[in-house]
Amino acid sequence: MHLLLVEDDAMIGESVVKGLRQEGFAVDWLHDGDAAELALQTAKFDLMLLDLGLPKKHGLDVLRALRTRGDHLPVLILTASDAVPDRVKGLNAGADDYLVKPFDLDELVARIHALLRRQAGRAEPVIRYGTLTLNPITRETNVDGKPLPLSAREFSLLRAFLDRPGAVLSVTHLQEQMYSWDDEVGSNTVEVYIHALRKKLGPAFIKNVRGVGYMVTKSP
Amino acid sequence: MRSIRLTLLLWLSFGLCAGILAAAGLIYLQAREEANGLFDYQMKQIAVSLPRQAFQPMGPIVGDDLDIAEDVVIQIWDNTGVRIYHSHNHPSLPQRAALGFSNVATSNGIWRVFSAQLGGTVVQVAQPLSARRELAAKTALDTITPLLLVLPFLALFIWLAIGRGLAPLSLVARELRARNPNSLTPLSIASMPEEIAPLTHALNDLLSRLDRALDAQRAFVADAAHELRTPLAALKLRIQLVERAGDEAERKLAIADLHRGLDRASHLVQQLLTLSRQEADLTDKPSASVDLLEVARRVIVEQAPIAAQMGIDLGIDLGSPAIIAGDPVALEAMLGNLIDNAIRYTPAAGRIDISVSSDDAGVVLVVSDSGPGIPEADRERVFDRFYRIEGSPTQGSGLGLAIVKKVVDRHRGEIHLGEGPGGQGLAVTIRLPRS
Repeated sequence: MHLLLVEDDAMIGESVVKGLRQEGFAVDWLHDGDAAELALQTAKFDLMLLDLGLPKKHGLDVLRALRTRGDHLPVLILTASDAVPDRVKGLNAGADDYLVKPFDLDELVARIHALLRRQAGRAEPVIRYGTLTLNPITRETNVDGKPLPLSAREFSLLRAFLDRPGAVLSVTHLQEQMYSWDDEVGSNTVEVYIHALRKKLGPAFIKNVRGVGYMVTKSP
Repeated sequence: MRSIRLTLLLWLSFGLCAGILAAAGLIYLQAREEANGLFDYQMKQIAVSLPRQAFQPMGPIVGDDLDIAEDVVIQIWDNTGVRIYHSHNHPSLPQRAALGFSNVATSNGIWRVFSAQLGGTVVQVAQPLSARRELAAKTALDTITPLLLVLPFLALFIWLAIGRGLAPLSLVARELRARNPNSLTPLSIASMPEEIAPLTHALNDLLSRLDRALDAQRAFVADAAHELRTPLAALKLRIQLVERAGDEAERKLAIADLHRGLDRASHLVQQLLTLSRQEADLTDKPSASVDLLEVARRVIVEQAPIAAQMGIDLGIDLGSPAIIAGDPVALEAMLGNLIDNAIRYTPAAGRIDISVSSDDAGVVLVVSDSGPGIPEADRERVFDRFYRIEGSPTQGSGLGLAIVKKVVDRHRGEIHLGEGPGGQGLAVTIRLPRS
């Protein structure tokens, strides 16, 4: 899952990035409204954490512009203002959720998961695919009720497939799901992890669509 | 204090009573005067109208005991001095008297006596003066009785009139009671009488000053609370990262981060305290004798290690003692913030110069750096608390220049932001009067 954090405070930004990476999210962090606007128009994210009092362009303006473009990206506002009118303004501008600083890292993670779940159209926190269950919160995988040990990257990759079974996913898209921009990504890294997953789940689990990308079938 | 209404009522009633009494006295005196003239005339007429030679010696009239004591007593003597007539017996009256009017003291009080030689007889007409006094007193009493009767009604009217006159006061009181720290709107003074208008004007002035002060306080507290959220949020996140740390090395790093977060929060709280202290003391003029050069040197010694760490050349020009009347703690905070700002914004290998000079008017302090400077448009607003120039890279409290400005204001000084030497960087020039 690739998240965009827009936050001008260095200490908060650092901590959120660190905390979310520990949770297995790929996080990119931008410090001002203009940079966020540019990133949103050029790259794809699964969710945005948005501070409102941003330099150069206010968070609400970034959010309105995003919705005006018809982008359904889930947006969680992080701000120091807990006044009800401000929260209403934020939600009305198109935010999906709202957290007031100082917030709890666990709560932030829980809300991110809830938003991602809603975005994927699931009510259940656990992702099921045949006998395979994937828990995005605990990051545990089970096959036939038995735990399947996966590395953080493998988990991110598997999740990307199981979020949209039946969809052909490009290598670039898979890369975005697994890494933030500042991670060093080798040219065939995605293939390396696909190979590892096939080893654990069976060679036919992930199918190659030549010239386009990879997919898992709509139903097992 | 007693009620104005009661006091006025008592004094007015007292005045009225005194007036009525004085009037009664005057009426009495005047009536007695008139009665004297009238009765004297009457007595003369009686004496003159008695028939001459009409009397033979005769005995006293029976029925002496008729209650006519106050009335006129007539006695007549013949040439030989034999009393030939007396209207009724009154032994206390003198048997002879000088002709004309006279006052004769008797055992029954003073009598007014008129004696006249009429032919062969001497006629004496006498009347007790008390009768005249009684008449005068009765006249006076009759005159003031109606006044005394209406006195209670008058008092009631006065009571009501005063109440009506004082009504605006209770209106003001009612309006004031409706005021509280959340609603300090001015009193309506459109219909106030001129005696009360100055009071309501003064009250309104006070109310509006209070309102402004309270607003400023509220804004300050709200701003401060808002600004504290950010470092608190960072702290909370960092504590959670410490908790989550997987191994010892990671935990150590996280704790070091936590310390930095705490330092930042403490710095903000310290700055808030300094600012609020300067705002609270704004009214009193500090008066200790302070050498600004000495303060500047002290602050530079304090901050030199930080500057050195960042490769910034921080120094002060040689100068002579610059002594002003001021608050040493506040001036140190001012210089501390100026130099701290300069260090924050000056890139590595930059330069910060401080100079202190004095002339007849006072002391001039200049802090110039080789940082990015402050755009012309922002130079007014940077003194507002928590104002940060857009896109400024460092994370300050947003209070430094606000504190500097407050200290300068307290010392009745002036501050100017300009370009540093060669039109580059920022030069802060502060002029403080000597006393």
